[in-house]
Amino acid sequence: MSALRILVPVKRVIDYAVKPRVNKAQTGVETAGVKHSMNPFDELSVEESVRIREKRSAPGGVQDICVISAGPTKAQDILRTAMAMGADRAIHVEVKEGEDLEPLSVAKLLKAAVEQHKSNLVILGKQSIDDDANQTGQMLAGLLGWPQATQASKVEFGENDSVSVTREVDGGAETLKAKLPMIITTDLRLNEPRYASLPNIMKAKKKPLEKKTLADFGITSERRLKVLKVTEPPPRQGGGKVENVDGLIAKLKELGAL
Amino acid sequence: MPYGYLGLSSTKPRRKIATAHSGSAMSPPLNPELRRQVITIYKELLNLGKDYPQGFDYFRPRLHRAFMANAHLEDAEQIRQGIARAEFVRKEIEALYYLKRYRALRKRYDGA
Repeated sequence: MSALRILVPVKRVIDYAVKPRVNKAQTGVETAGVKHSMNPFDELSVEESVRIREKRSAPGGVQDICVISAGPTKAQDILRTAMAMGADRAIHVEVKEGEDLEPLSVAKLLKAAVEQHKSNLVILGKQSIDDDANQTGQMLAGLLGWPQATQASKVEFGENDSVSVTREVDGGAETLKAKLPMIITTDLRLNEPRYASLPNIMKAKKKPLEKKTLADFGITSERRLKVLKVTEPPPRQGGGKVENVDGLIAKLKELGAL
Repeated sequence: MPYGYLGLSSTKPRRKIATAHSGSAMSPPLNPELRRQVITIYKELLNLGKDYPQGFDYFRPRLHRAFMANAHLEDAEQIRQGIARAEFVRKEIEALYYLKRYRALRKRYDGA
């Protein structure tokens, strides 16, 4: 029974409570001066890995929980938060502001990180709430040739490195069973992420944080996708009131429904 | 969602203050251990308040007022009750944050 070495990729995104504004050039959303926080789905994956350790649900135990993030220097705050929640160490891959990686580049980066750190379980958020790509986990599984269980709502460990993952599908639940090493992506109902306590925030400041660059992993940020234009959704058209039945019929005829 | 239900919008005395029994020129605190616990929970709540939906500026004075209202407490049992009350509020605020986020995400991604 092998001990788990969990890799948890996290992303710094605009806080879920902030309403994003499209920038003037219509090339993206305004990020300057906007509150950022950890992608909520990534919080679920950090929480899940910490719970696997605390509940001792994995027979081989958890040897290491490593969080990794690629982004501007401020992504380190997010990594500290993850360590305050219970991760052991962090890796920060410096990527300049505005030069975000595409899911495929992220997957390649994670593949290199998995190989470097000998991880045997990667728990990712199913998607980030900024680009909503929902691709990285799947691409990483493909690149590594590992089994994947996406949108997990329950993770259980069994004998001989087997892992059962319950996932939410249309009209019910589906249970997958696979052997380590594997990829899991988290769905909203997997767990309730904790709020980091002050003493743990202080302790997290002393935990190791490695600073790396893309070159350290032999990756270049390649752009395959081009954003043509970003626009606000059209404002919602308000409904109208009709006075009486005749009004309703007239309205329906006008709209061609009758 | 009504955020006032946590008791922060009310001015009723509920919790005790960190500086109980420890005024500058006063005698040393009656119970240093309890005093430490009160300060700890006060700091925890302050830290939580940074994410309060109505803002830290809304949260902090109310928190301070709630603690100040109990500053006069000297009975150890009453102080313990105050700490328990503060712990309860801490848990409620954490649950509030979790639910708020969960509902927002569910609305966005589950189409519910």
